[in-house]
Amino acid sequence: MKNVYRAEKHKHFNQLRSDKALLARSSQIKKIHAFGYRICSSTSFVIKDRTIVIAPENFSIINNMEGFLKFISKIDIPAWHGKDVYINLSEVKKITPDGLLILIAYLNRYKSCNPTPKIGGNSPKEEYCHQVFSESGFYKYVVSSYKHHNSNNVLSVRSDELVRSDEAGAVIEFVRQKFKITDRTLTRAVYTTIMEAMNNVREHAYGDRKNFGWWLMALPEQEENVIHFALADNGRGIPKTIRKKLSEKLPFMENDAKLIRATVLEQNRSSTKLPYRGLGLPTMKKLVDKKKIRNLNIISSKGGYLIDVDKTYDLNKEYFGTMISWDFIKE
Amino acid sequence: MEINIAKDFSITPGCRHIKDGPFSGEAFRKEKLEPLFESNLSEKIVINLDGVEGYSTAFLEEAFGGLVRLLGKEIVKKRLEFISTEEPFLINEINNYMEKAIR
Repeated sequence: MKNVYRAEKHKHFNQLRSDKALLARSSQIKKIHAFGYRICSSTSFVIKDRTIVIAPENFSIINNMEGFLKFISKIDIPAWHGKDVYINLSEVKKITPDGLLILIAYLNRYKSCNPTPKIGGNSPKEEYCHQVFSESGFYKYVVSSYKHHNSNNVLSVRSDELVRSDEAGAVIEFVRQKFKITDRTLTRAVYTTIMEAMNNVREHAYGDRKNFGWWLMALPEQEENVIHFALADNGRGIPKTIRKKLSEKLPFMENDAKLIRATVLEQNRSSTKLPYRGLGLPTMKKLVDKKKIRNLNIISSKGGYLIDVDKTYDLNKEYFGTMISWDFIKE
Repeated sequence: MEINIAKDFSITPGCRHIKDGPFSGEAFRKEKLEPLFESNLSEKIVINLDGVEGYSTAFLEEAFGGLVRLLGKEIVKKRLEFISTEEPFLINEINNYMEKAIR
């Protein structure tokens, strides 16, 4: 006998049918056999109270800012409310350390949520990206059966609350081994950059909040003489922590990217107000000017600044923290 | 009297304050520099900056700028000398920190 539905119920079944059609169109979703799902968008949907989020092909904030921040926000909203999230990484085909570190920094934020969400996921199908996720130690930060494999290809993610000069030294050792460098002076700029970045996190990022620390990773480019570095935190962000001029405090003058630029170009913008502080980011700029490091990029809150080309840019979604990335090139 | 930072302190000099991490500028100043200023008032102290992985500005400022804040510019500058064959510009940088150090 034909069922007769009331208008609300009819609407509900219509929605369910269109959800099913959308699911069927997505190759990632075909394999999931479940009932009671709800689609949030083409990149995330909910099955049995667990949000499935599909990671972008280009897993990088510096190369795919809009797509990556959208992906992060899809995780952030349910996870922040204690809902479980499954991250589908299968379509990831390109990766830079900044993307991986930002995701790890965000995952760390959810530890304080009540209830604490379970964050799980799968692995990229693409061999190199699978190797990077596995060897970086990423799977330690999520619920996963994948194991961490050490190798000399990827410097696994390091993290601490303190400024760890010994860890910076270990990173430099990795660089020297990778590039077969014996001259210490060639890698000093990388050491200084790491130390300045760690210092900034320790002294400014968290303020009175619990210090969650920093995350650091290095990733050599395949078959090229380049190593990509990134150091991220999930603190208050540079624009909220620097000493602002009167004009910068005006709501209509506020611009995070310009504030980051000012911190790099002007010394002594430290919130400590001490004239001998606030030297870290200007020192990094000097290293860029001397071409000791390249492509230095700072992303914090709603803004970003590319130091090499003196270019500021706005983010379409806020990043809760600061991420500094740079490249070291063997000449 | 010579202090070789790499040999006598650490190959990986750290941050500004002891509470913030190992091998800090404050630790270097307290362990290596201050005792020399207490014991002998005239001997030159040569600081060899070579052989380390690198320096953070916070380490250098706190070690040498911090010493000036503690003992005064004249006393410190009169006794300290620096060697840096690997990165000679570091000497200017340190002198700059000592000049700008305020109590």
